[in-house]
Amino acid sequence: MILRVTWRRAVAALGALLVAAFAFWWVAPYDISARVPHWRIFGEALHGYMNNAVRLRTLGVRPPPQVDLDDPALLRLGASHFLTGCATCHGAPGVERNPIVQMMNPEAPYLPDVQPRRPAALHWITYNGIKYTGMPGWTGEGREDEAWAVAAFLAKLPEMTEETFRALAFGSTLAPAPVSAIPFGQHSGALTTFGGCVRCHGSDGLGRDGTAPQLAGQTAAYLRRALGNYAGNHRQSGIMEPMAAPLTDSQRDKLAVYFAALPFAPPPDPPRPAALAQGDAAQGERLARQGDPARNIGACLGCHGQPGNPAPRIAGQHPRFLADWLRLWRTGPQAPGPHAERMAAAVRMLSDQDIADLTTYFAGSDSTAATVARVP
Amino acid sequence: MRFHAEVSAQGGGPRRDLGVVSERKPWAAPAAFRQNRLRRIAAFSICALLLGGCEGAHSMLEGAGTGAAAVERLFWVMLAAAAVIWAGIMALAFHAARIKAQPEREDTAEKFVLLGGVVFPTVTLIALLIAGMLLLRGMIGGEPDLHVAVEGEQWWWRVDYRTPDGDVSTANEIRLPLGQTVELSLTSTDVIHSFWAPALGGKMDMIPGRTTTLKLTPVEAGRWGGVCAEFCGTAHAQMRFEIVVLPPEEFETWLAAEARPAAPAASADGQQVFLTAGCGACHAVRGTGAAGTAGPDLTHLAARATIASGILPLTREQLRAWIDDPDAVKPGALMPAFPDLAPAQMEALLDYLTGLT
Repeated sequence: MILRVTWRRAVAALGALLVAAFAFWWVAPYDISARVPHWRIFGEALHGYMNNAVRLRTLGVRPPPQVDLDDPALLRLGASHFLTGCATCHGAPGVERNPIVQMMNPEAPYLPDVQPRRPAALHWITYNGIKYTGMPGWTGEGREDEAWAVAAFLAKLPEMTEETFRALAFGSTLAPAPVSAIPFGQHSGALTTFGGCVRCHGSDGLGRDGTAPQLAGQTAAYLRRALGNYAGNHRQSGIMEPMAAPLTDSQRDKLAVYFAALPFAPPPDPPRPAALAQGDAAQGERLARQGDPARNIGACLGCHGQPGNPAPRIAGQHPRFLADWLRLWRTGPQAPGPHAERMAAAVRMLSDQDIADLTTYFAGSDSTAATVARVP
Repeated sequence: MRFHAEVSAQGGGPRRDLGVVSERKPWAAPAAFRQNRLRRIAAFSICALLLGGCEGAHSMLEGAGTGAAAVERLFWVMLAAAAVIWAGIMALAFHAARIKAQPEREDTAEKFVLLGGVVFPTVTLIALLIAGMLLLRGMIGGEPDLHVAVEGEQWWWRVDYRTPDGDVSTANEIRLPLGQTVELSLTSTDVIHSFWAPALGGKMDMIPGRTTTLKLTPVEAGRWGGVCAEFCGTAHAQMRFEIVVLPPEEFETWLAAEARPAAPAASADGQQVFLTAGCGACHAVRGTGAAGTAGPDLTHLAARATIASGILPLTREQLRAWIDDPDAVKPGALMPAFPDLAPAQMEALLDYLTGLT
């Protein structure tokens, strides 16, 4: 028998299909209980789809030139954030996960045991998250730069011992006692509020290789504002927002006052990360003092380092930190309010070379001396 | 012969229509227009406006500079010649419509087309081109008495003088000595602008990465207007300037005053606000440490008559409105707003700025 396809029959078949699909949706025969595993074919299809999607979206993606995945500073930042945001579900070297998260379906992979993906794929998943799996996207909107630190850390994770991980994640200033399993909803170790700050910003408030800025010598008002902006999602960072959001007003206030009171004594002329382009300090100084008339670049020192101006102190900051934030600011305001609008207007036209020049100047002791002389 | 009948019927139609049209006097305005007083008033106003453009600070017929006088001469010569040619053509057309058609010899017709349609326009246009070129040479050649650098930026004019006492930078107001030839070096930092002060001389493009020159010799003292004559972005229409022509000794006094650092602060609080708020990131006030270069030099702001590139008089109120929200005054202005200044801070700042004589 030959089945002749006619318009009428095609429409009828399509209608039947729609009815069947609706009936499936309404009756819901497929078990969504997390306790019951997927049908094998269904689970494999979903996982394969995810792999295909990630591969397609990271074709030809390389880390940006200023990101060196072997940089120990980046590993430390990545490890610290992994401890805050990821270890609860993905585990950490030598630390088991809480039984609760092991009941997730799909189960979040225990990453210390998993052969890592390509760095670009690690970065994509870290920044975007994955729908229907419980893997969240990056909370710092537009901060794809930050996710590279996590990717750098994940690429090195399988070969990492517990001691190495603890040293990276907690910094040299703290050595919390090991725990056998991660308490649910908490860090994989005893981490106080203050400990959460100093593992990256240092107990001296001088930062750590520019992955976290120096807080010493900033005004308390500025630090309070920055913490409030992070907590209120007015300033974007996947790393700082989860740290600032749980703090009470009085905690933020105390931390701001504490770090502002620390003496401003940055190490003179810190070594420049190899991946950062070298700049010309004299050009940077000219730009910092006068700006550039041809490209409408404002003079940095017109606001930063002017007594009474609420802009943060930038002299003596690490070149990595300055370069990261100048790249962000030139794309638009990074905080609410007219000050942020003005900052964005001043740096809109900065070139990569300008950023190299400026960071070379501001990291040097000359600018520190110039600013210290002006600000009591 | 049905075909012929049709043709004659069709041929009859238009003739009747023509008859209807001819009942109305051809020079009378259409009925709809006659009844519409508003339209007439509008048309009258537009004519009045256009005629109004023929005099005043922006008029090329004012002859306040030798360049403009030359342009004006050329304009009148061209206008007169065009009038003669137009009258000739009209007479010819009238004649052609009146005469009875009669056979001409073919070579007479060819000669007429060749002379009237090829030789005459070629000679006329070449003569005009030569006259124009000579005029242009007169406008850019010769040794100047003074150099002024003018830079077009979105959307204002940076004006720099070199003096023995140091460089002078001002904005949107070009002061020139009467009777002296000044060479303007024109350039741009962003897009193509065009420098045009019609009362004083010709128009010259300002091109990023190149320097063009224009010479002006003002022969009449006064304030003359100028505009950007090349569309350059949202605030193009608000990119104006003034040329102030002064007797030479007055000009020298002014230039010497401009070369001096800023006057002592009229308000110490205001100066403090100026520095603290970050005005110095983009504006220089010589002698205060404010050394920004992105925006106009404000060392002698109060000596200028206008702000916002010639569109507003420099008054306390206009300054306040401008600082509070430049974009509201001039859409697209690149200066960021300062809505966060407290009223007392703003007043002190205005005291300071209006004291920068």
